[in-house]
Amino acid sequence: MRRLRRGADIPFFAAFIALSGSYALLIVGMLAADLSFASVSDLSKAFQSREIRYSIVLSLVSCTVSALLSMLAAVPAGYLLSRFQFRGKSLAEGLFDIPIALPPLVVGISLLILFQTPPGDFLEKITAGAARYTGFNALMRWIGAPEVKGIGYETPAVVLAQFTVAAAFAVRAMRVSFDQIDPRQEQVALTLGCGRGQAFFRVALPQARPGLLAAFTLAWARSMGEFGPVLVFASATRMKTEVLPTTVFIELNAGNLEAVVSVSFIMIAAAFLALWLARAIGQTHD
Amino acid sequence: MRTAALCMAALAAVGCGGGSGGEPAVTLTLYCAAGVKPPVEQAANQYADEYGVQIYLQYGGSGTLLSALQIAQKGDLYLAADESYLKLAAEKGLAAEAVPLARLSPVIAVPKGNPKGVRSLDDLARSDLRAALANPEAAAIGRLMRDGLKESGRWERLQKAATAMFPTVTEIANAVRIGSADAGVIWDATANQYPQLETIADPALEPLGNRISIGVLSFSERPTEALRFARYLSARGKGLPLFTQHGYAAVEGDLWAEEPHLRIYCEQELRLMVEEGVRAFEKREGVSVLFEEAADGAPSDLDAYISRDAAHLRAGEPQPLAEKDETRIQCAVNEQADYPRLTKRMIQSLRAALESRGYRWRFEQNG
Repeated sequence: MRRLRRGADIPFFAAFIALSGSYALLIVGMLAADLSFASVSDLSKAFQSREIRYSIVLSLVSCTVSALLSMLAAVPAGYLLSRFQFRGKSLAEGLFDIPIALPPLVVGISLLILFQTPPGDFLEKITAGAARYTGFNALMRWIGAPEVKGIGYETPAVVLAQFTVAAAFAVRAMRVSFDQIDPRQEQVALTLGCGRGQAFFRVALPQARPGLLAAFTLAWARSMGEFGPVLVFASATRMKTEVLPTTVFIELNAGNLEAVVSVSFIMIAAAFLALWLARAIGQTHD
Repeated sequence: MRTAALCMAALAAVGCGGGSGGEPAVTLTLYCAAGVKPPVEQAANQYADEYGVQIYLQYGGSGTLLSALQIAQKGDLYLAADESYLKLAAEKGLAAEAVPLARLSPVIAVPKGNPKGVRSLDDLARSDLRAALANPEAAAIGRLMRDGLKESGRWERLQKAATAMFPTVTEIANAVRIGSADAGVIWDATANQYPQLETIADPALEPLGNRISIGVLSFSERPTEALRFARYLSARGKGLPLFTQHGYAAVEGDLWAEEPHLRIYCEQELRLMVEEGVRAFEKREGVSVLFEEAADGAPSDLDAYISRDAAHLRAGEPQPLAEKDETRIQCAVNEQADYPRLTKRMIQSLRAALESRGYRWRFEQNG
């Protein structure tokens, strides 16, 4: 009986493996094609470039900061959307989807225009002042990084451009994650005398750990690949606002295909490493 | 009046032939520098209406397109905002003929009214001013500025002071327009497309101008059709006025004819030698070349003259064509005739053809 069932399952597995396998093959094929284009010496040449090294570091730092900021917005937003019914909820849901639906260049141009308005200008001045008087710029000078003189066309613009899009993905992920957690345990905690905050931090959040991790990695990976908004809002200034996708674009424009492929490999390796690290950190607490 | 009517009739005939014939319609793919979109798009539509040839336009930065076509190995034409990209393409064996279309000059763009009082290029290094420049790695204008202003140390100063760098001039123009930058260096033709901008010329930028050019790709399966569109785009009454209309400084172009006839004078004894090259040129360009007989001195209204005797070159500057042993053949292109550019391409291909048969055309090399 069992054997018969297994035999009957063969078409199912054959179809599913074939379908998922062809997608896997496409990804592997792309990587292999890249490999055939660039050599190890191209890769080491890329590493020797001061500009490319700077863009690697800025990419890693800005992605991490923007992923953390995304979580700061996504956890409360996801929780509120998942647990509560309120007037205008569908509107709020639609609003959080806008950055996903908008063309990347539109996100960039919108940010740029926003920071030309009086409130935007005010934020620019506050940021510049804060960077100067908190000793942040002194620290930047000390490590040889460019000082922050505002937001637009400065390093904060890189983070903000990445955050704007990445946070929308994180909100979605957190919402689905809270949806999957049974609210009954939080309700029990509330009847046992916990406040809303306690119920959230002690009951809901620990259960959402896999979801947190998924949302963080999604936001991080999304930030890593972000290009359009960064180009328009932060510009492509080398040694200042150049991140890895910018490097790829500049080198592609220069017809330097070997460098393009090399930098792509650096991005793939960095993403692999970071995502693996995130997973490892997530598992140590189990 | 009568010629106009004749033209109309000819056009109608061509239009009908294209429409009713059973042959598949001819299509061409043109990689086009994004900044030059307005006139090229209009010319392509006009050409499709007149001759039934559909032209697919693919837009991007000149450098980006070069990378793309290098990998794709497909397409017929490549239009770059800077002729050095076509030279690069030729060096890589990707492009053959290059036809110039319009001149571009870098200018300083500021918002209308020039609120920051920018007078010259050096003002862009002022600390109270946010300047936007083009990446020298990505954009032609950036590279020309870097190479042209390096020696005076100006580029270094400008780059250090620049608030933002962008891979294309359009992004710089947008930044100045929105107000996120106070000034930027862009092409005059780009600035002409923004009524909100004002331009300032600087003598240091003047020598950095260059030419928009179109070239035929070496892997094109229809080089003759591709060349015909290149000729159309660069023709006096056809493509060039569209460039002028959109604020470009169009170059001097040939007259337009679907199949031009070149009339050349060639010394009787040299005919056999150049014949092969001339026929190959005719075939590739889709034109016809007629040798004019001249018993006692050729007329002075021909397109080109080829002779060993400089006295027979009745128009234009004498130039070397080919040299071997004791023979030194000279040629001259009549700039006043209808097709000086086409004629120059013919001379180029004759030189190449003769060079492959052991002739030299660079006389000064052995001097």
